[in-house]
Amino acid sequence: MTMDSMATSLVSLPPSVLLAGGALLIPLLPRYFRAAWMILLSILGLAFLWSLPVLQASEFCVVSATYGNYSLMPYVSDPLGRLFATIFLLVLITGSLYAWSLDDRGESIGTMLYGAGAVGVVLAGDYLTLFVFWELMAIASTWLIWSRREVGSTAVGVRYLIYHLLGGGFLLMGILFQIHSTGSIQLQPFTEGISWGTLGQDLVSNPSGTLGPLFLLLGVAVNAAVVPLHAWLPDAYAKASWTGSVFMSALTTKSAIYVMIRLFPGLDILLVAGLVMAVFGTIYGLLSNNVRQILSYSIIAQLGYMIAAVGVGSEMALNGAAAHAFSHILYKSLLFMCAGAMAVYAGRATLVEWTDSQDDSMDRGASSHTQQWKQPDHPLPWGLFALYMIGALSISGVPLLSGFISKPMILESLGKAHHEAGLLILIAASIGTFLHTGLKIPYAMWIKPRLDSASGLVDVASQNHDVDDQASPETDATLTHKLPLSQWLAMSLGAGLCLLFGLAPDLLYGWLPYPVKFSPFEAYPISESLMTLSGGFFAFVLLRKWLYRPGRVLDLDWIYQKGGEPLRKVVVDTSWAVFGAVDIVVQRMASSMTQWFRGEKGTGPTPAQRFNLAQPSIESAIAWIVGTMLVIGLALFL
Amino acid sequence: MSRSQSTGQFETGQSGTGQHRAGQSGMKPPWRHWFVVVPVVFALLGGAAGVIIEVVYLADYASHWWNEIPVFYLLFGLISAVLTLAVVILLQRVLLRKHHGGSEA
Amino acid sequence: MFVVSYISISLLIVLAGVRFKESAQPLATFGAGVTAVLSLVGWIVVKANTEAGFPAIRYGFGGWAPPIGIEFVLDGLSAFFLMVVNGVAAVVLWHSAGNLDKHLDAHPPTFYALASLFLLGLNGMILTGDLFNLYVFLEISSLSSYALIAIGSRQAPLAAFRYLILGTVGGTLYLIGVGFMYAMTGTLNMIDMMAIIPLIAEEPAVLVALLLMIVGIGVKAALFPLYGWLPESYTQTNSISSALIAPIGTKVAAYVMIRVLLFVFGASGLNAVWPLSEVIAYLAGAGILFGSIMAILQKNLKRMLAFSSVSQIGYILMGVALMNPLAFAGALFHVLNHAIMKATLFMVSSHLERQEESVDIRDFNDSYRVKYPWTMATFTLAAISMIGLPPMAGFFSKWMLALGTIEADHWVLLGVILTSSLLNAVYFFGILEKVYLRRSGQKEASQASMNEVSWGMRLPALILALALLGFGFFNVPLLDILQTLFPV
Repeated sequence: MTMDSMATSLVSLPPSVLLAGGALLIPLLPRYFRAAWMILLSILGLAFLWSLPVLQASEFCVVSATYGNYSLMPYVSDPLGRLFATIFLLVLITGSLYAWSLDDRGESIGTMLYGAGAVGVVLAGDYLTLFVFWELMAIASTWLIWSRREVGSTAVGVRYLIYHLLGGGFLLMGILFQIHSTGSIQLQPFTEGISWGTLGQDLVSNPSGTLGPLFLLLGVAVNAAVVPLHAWLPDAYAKASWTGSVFMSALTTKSAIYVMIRLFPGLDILLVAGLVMAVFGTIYGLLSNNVRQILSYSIIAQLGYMIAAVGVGSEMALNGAAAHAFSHILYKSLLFMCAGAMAVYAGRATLVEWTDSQDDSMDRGASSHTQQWKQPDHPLPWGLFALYMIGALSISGVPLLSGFISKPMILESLGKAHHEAGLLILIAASIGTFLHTGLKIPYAMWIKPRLDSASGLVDVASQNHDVDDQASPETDATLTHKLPLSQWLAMSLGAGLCLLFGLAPDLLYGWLPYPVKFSPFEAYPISESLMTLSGGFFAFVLLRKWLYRPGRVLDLDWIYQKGGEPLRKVVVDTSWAVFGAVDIVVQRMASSMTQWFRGEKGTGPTPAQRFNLAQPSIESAIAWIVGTMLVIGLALFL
Repeated sequence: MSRSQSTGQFETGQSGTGQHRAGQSGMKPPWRHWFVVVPVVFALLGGAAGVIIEVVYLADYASHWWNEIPVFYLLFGLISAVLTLAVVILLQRVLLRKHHGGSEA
Repeated sequence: MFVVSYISISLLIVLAGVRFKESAQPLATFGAGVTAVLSLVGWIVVKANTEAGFPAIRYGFGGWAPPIGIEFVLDGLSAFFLMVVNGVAAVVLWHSAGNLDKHLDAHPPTFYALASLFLLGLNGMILTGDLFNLYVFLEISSLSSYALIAIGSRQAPLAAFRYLILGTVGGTLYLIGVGFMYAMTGTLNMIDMMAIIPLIAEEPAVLVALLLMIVGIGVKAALFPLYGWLPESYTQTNSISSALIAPIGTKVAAYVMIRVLLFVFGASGLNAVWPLSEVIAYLAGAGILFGSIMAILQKNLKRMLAFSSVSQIGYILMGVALMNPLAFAGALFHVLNHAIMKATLFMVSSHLERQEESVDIRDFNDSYRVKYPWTMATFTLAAISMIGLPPMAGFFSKWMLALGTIEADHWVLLGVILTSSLLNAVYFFGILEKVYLRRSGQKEASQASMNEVSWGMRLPALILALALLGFGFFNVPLLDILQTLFPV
């Protein structure tokens, strides 16, 4: 089969083009058809993708193009790319089902373009295509944040956009350096890694060759939320639209992981970075009080697993990273969907709230005795609990669910590579994940409110004695919040997929880039998982009282949130001062000369001639001209 | 574990009268707090199953130095979780700031 | 030859327009259009000529052969600039038809006569092969632009006066520089001078002359920190003038820079004693950052666009000063792109000014999306290109410029390019977000109905914006050609 004949058949249409083109039709479709359209195109994209052959050893270029002197490979079908594209399309399907009743054309378009960008990135074979789709993702996902339309949404979106454009800028710099040093625009892995020891000399002897991988790494690290470049993630994902965050949790970060697996397998520093992320994400996840924020930090922690695995670099490790990305998307999207549902019932997104409005009256010394657990507006149904726990137990690595098929693979690969300290750290972080997602959230949302109401701390709003007959919301007249059927279906679908892959991991293993020599259903992983989680459970039971505390988590974004204003002042005020000083001097000279010529006495520039940076006075502008000349001239003759 | 009573209204129709202590899972009729009992039971069973598996399949268990210690993972789980929680609880005072309105929910 | 007919048509407009009031605008547009077509023909002819190995087309005035006589030279560079200038001018003049009633009351003929004179001057500057002749045309275009700018708001005459003083200073400095050069070389012909300069490049007088010329042209080109006349001029003037002058005025000054620095003096002559090209490159870089930062701070749309222009001309001048084919091609492509983008943006601002009576950004809200769908769509396309996102043309010119900075090992300037793209994103996205997203608390979109300007105004803007998309997709052949224009 030659490339020419492939390129002319319809199935070689890249799914990203399909989705992006489809996005154009969204404005014309009536409300419920938009979600159906998205689902249809995703399925079609999957069908096209899977009908293409894929070669194990090398890449199969489906579409090729040229740009100037560079030959592009915009659409490449290889196992790794196909795996990622598949899960992206799957999450587009479940997420669109979840967003069935969304009535926001802008957000729907943004979602499709976002999906198109993500699929485009993982199927790209050259840097230009990669960059185009990368930027598309950044802009489309910003739109999903702005779609929330809250008072603060503008600011969050702007921060996010700037962060990602900055990351894109780094990526572009890396790409340009790469092109300059290798002359090729195609994606090539950096198999020799980066030699940190000789960095200084390399910079001098081969600047673009050295800076290329560095900046590429930096650009990818922004999207992959590597600590300390991670602060955008909890900020944005907790405040995006409810339907948008489902997609955001999956696409941006995982496409960055894909690029890491592709370009930097075995890069030693990634192991350290991953471990830091795992610990950091776990601690902050336990600190947070907002459901989606906890989930966001959990994303950072899980990304840490993947990045650490990329850092190990063995075949099993890379398999593990890819598999973990796959299963992570499955359960994370489910969890975010549940988060949205929880907010519908609870009327809020936080776990703990002060019941009195005087936050400030709470002094630091007060223990939890005075802390009140505010009841959710409506009791959360047990059906939602079941769906949520499937996701939560998946992320914790409980056997028979999707997390269990990938996390042990990573752990074992670390073990085989003799990174024992790292292995123990990751296991501890895994327990921490169980603590915040699997215990802290459900306890606060389901268990504690019912304990409280059962023992007499009842709100006027919920007059329910036995919370059990909330199974059917329709029977209770006071329960006006209920979820549309489409959301229940979407969450069930997500949960079903978690179960499916948990029970039949070989389905996923067949799609992994390298041959799989691992099976999770062995004594060791199962018992390890069960024992550690059990231990963690009882630790939580002991210490749960002190774990909950409302408040905003202080993260690194404090620096630029607080630092932006002073920086602006410094830059602007300095310019103002410099230009102003010149202007005043010149104005004085000009007016005194005028007065001298006229034979008058004077007092200096009038208020009307006061300085304006945006429009310097004629005199000062001339002064600048003359000054520039003099400076250059002086320099010449000295 | 006591909680001071909130502004909630005390329904006289509530089952039981006045002697509630919150959080005591054993004092009420079992079905009222099944949602606490069930997870605890699961955790106990899971832990036990894990220990049994380890004991039975001892042959596979030589991978790392810590596997020499029996029921290592159970202890590791408990201790590391306690440590993590302790660190978090301590950090809470430092890293949690008061709400400013409008940034949540 | 047709070179001459460019000029004569513009002159005809001037005369004819005085008699028939209503015919002024159509005639001006027609004239510009014909000129644009002719420049396209010229481009094709020159391309054919270069492939056949013939030199550029030269035409001596009055039959006097150069170097005694004054000549016009049509080579690849001139042909390119002619196309850009006249093409954009034609579209802008076409667009102006819809705006006449608002601004010009009783004097369209005068206005269009001035506009034609302005274009006459610009075309002459591009075509001429003689340094003094260039000054003549420079003054023609400058004087007419002062007058054009004076028509506008209440502060417009003051802004025009400011521009007049500063522009005259710049022109005079240039003239003195030319005078020095004449004294040193005995010729005013560019091609002649090119041959002589290598011999005398290190003379102090030549250096001083070079310096004077750079600063003089720099004023007209708004090189940092010589930008002082620009913000007020572009802000206070009427929207037709701003749409006409902003995209092409500074570009032609950049052309002069290119000619003088790269062709007449050449890289060796320019840097003979001190690395002047580096100085210019870094000044341009400073201008890029300064313009972007100031643009963010503005509340008036037109002033924001003015500072954005300062920033963009920085890109062009930096590309020129980097002295390699990649950056040069990027700079030229950016000339094309920016002319189109700025023309589009000023047209958009004229639509908003017309319908809303204000261009204050703080007043923008999402009713604009309903009232001006086409205008805002055009704005969005142009904004995406200004920021430099693919697949719009703006991305590719920045890409080339960035490659050029790497080629020249100027990492700092590379960082400047990328930082300023980020800054551009801030102020453009700020506007887009205001217009396209409902404010919180608002349940429905603002109750507004479509209140667009006439198709006569919408269409030209839209065509230009779509041209950006087209140039983006087909940038490769163009960039290849532009690279060949770099003087070896």
